[in-house]
Amino acid sequence: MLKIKTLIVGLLKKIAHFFHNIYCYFKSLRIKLEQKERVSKREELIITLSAIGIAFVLSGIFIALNGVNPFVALWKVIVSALGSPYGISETLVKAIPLIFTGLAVAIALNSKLWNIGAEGQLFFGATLATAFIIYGPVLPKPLEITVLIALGAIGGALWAGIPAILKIKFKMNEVISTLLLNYVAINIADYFLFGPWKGKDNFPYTPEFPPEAKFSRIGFGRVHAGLILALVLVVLLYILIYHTKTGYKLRMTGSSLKAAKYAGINIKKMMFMVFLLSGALAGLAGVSQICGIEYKLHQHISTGYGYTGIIVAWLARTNPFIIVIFAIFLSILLKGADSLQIAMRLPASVGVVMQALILFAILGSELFKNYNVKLIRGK
Amino acid sequence: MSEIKNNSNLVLMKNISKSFYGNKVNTDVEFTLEKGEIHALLGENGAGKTTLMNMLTGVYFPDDGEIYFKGKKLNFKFPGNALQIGIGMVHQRFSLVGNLTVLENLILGHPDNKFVINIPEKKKLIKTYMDQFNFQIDMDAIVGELPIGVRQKVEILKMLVREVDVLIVDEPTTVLTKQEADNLMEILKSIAKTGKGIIFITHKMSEVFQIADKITVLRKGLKIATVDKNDTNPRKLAKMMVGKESEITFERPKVETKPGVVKIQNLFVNSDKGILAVNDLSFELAGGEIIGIAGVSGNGQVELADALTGNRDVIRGKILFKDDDITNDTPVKRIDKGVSYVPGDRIHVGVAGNQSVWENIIMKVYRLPRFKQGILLNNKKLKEYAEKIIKKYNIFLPSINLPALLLSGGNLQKLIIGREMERDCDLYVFVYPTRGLDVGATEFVRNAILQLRNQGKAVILISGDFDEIFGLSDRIAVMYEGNFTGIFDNGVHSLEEIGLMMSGCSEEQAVKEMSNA
Amino acid sequence: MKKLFWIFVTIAAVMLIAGCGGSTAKGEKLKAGFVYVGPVEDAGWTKSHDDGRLAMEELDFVGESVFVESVPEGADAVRVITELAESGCDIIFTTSFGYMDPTLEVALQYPDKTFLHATGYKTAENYTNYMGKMYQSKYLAGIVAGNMTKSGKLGYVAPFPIPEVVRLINAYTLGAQSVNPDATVQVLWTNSWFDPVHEKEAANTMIADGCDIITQGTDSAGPQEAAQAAGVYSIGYDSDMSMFAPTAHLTAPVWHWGVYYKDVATKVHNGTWTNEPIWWDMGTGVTGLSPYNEVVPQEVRDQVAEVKVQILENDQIFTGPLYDNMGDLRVEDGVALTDGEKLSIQWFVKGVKGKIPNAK
Repeated sequence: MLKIKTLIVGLLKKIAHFFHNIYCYFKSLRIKLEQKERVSKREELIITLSAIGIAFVLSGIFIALNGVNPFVALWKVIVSALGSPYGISETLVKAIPLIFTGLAVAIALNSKLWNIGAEGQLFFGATLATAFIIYGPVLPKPLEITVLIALGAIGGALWAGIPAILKIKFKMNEVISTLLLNYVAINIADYFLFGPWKGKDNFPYTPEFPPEAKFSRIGFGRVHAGLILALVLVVLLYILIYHTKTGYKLRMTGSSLKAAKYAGINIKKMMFMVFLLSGALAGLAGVSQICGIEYKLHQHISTGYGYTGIIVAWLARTNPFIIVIFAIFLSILLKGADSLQIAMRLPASVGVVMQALILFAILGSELFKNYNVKLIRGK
Repeated sequence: MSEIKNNSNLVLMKNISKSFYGNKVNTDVEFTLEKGEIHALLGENGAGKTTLMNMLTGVYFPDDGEIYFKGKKLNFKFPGNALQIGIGMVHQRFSLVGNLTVLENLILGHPDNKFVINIPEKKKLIKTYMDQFNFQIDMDAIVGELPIGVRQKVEILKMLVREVDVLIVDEPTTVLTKQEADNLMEILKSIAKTGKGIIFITHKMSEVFQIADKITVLRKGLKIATVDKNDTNPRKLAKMMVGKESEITFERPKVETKPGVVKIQNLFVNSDKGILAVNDLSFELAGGEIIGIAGVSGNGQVELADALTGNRDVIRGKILFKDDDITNDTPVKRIDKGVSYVPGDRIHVGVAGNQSVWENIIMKVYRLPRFKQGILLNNKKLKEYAEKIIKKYNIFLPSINLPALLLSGGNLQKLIIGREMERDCDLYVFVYPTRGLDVGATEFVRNAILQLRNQGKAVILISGDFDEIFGLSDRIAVMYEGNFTGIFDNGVHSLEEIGLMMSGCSEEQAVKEMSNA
Repeated sequence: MKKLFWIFVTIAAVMLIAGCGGSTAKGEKLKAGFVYVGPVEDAGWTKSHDDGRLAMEELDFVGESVFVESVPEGADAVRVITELAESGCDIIFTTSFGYMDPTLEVALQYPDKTFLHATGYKTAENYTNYMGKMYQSKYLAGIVAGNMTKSGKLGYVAPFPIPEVVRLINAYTLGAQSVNPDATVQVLWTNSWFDPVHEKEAANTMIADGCDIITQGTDSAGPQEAAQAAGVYSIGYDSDMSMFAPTAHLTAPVWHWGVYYKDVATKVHNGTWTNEPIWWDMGTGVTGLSPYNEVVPQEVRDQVAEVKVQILENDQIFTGPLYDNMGDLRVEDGVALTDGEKLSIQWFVKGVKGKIPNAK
């Protein structure tokens, strides 16, 4: 009896000692931070991918806490998004607005400008295009679509022009102005939806658009011509950024304001242009949604695509082609969250949590881009 | 944890070295600070003063060497730790929150703050500090509405409230009037009397003698000397700051000059802080002539260069270039008219550091019709152009796609100068063109400048290096507080006389002082 | 780097062990899918449907049921409904008006499955709409409110100015006026089905304005909490909300969707289901009042019980004379509104203080 007791006490002591050692090890660890002067493209990519990896691991833990095997969940997400032609087509459908808003935020970010207002620009572009459908003549389809695309772009650009002027003339921070204008744009759309444009059944949506105003489908599920427009824009933007004078100026302005000014570039003009371009792209997301898939204007034409676009842009940074990849990546996640509800009985919040974790991990990884972080032992 | 012998040393920095991108900013620097001492850190901009202090406050870690504080070796975890252990620095840019009150700024982030803050008690506490050091500040005033001199006092008070033992002030008087500056000095002296150590970073000679007990002079990242105030005089210090006269002479063949390429008439320009930096300046410059502008940095040289090249607005006055009034032309117009600028801040202004080498070489020519291909840029031709310049000017690099900031200082300057020379302009403005460069690169730059002169270009050379000024200039101007204290042919005045002019003496005074000595 | 790798591997292994396997499919039993507009914890509309779903699951020929919550009412809904159909659901319920067209779109592609849409009006071979006569229970709740109010001013937090909501506001008002002719009902729109913060604010505004009983047509418990905090009475909606307002909550007109869901499941199972639209009255039990707060006097309870019997015998809630709140006579004495008229009503009865924006 006594023997067992001493054995147990000894064992407990050993365990306590073990944990104490671990505690001491971590206690003796120190984090050292030093400002970094630069970070290479390769390092940046590694840091970004690691951040996504960490976000996945944390999401996995969250999913496991819900009593679901995270690997099975991940497999389900991938299968539902890419495992069938239908899944792929739906993934693309949801990626289309994200390509537009991703490009919109990215082009601003390239010039070190924060466009948090893609959501509002999306709504304003969509509202302006809808106004033409409701009040304007019905034109032959090619012409009608062209007009709608133009109006969407103009609407978005107009809406982005407000914070641009506020920033350039009055030095108002664009993060705040673009963000707040989102609510204004959405309320303007609401005004029309609850007012002059509301449906016959008194619900807040417009009548279905005439066939002339609908984007054609490309023959692959619900994927519509908005995808082609988006991909064409990706190529055009690539050419604009890397093969034109304007693009050269954009790159220089984004890289260093002082150097750009020294090179004779009119920085204010460039900023204004970037804002308009960014807004126009977000406005196109709106047109693509209403003419490509929803066929009417209502309150839910965007499920936060303007905000998700920020994550897409932050992940992809400079290259328009990489935007497409990350737009599809986030589309898979967003869609996957719904599939997980059906297949694994996970709550809807899983998707939101995953998105938030990725964003936090990416923002957190900024630390590693700006500082050398060293883990050292001892004092 | 090693103890050191002398315990009255508040700070001991031993054999400190630090380099960025292979450029040595501090080499083997020693520095000590004792209790109750005001220690001036004197040196040109770029001499390594701020970097040295950034290591003391933990923003950077030294590559080599050790720092002791109150006898203990420093080991920072995060920038900002310094304040917790008692080292506070008042930067040139204040860290106050503009729309909070003075009181709120003083207690913001204070380590003693509990969840609930007892405001009246804090007020009483702060009042004791204010009385002790003779501050007169309204604690309920909004900081953003206070004049800049008072804001600075709030900064200092903030450090006192945090009970720092070492107070570092970085060029505190640049934004102050004479009266405010005097008042500040008195306050600093009374703080030192309580046993705190003060490090006073400056490049103004007069202040050094007004306030410091000891003076350490840094030049090009090296400690030149630490001297007691009573053992030195402005002349000696000036010489330490600027270095010895050089033995090397450059050949300056006689060339035919074209008078009046540049005419500057009654020019007024503001600094970034909104105070007058160039004050009623007039001079002329001929083609085939180098005018060397000497002066302690911060006396308006950079602002003058910026204004000439369109990077800064002119308040009043005229700039005539080849009898064309370019005062209000945009930078791009001046580039097209033949004004070239080699800026002092190579890495942030001279190039866009994250962009590739070739993109930086084409910075001023990409708009030319010969590089167009329809509406697109002919990137192939542009790259060929960049390759050509790289070859011609011996820029050493593995790939033209490398980001420019990865180049060494010398290669970067070659890139910039090659880019500018290739454009064939009529006016070249150089600002600190050889600062931080090794011997080889320095020689390249100086030869390039001479070559331009010999080709009949007008050259303005702003420099803190007297080898350079004496070696290259046809005429020398000494700039002090926005104007020239003297402008004369190279060889008329000695280095000592120029040193005196740099600290505000007029030409005649300087000559008189030297003949008295 | 190597250490980090092993940490990842360890975490991955732990997750593999900790997580349990996926669910296994059951045999020949019915599988049902539900599309919800809000989260199941909304304590209101979505919760009432989820309670109904759980009640239906008790039937032994119903194998399992799945739901997808917080589904946007647009193109995303089409995908979610399709995925439900693809995952083997035999019956699919979509529970918000905005799903009407998306559900129809999917229903046409899966003719051998049954689709049911709450609150809409469209039908197809395998698709119909269902609703209950909630206005009857709202009328009864109005009687409780009319008895319990001191100021005679009632507050109503309302979502959208659509006929469904307008009809319920009118019934509640008429119920209150049947015992308290001077009672008025203040309406504030939130333009959202589920927005706890906004709803709470609206309730507080009306309480400050002198309303002493708060009720709602929205889905969150926000207004209830506001009433509880302000010390006034409240009447819930959708499901029993007394847990959010223990002393304020008098009663709530509630949905008992389980009654209907069991019926549909049985009929589909037996092959007797038809696409006839459903608008069940209170007698079926699909709507009713939740248990009373102890402060509601017995006479009031008796009165409500009496009126309930009358309504089940002969529903005269929307029988003239009825004036609108502009003072115009809308329904002549003795004339009753038809079901069609009730379903498209776009005017407020006398005593409602509020406006229907751009009424057509």
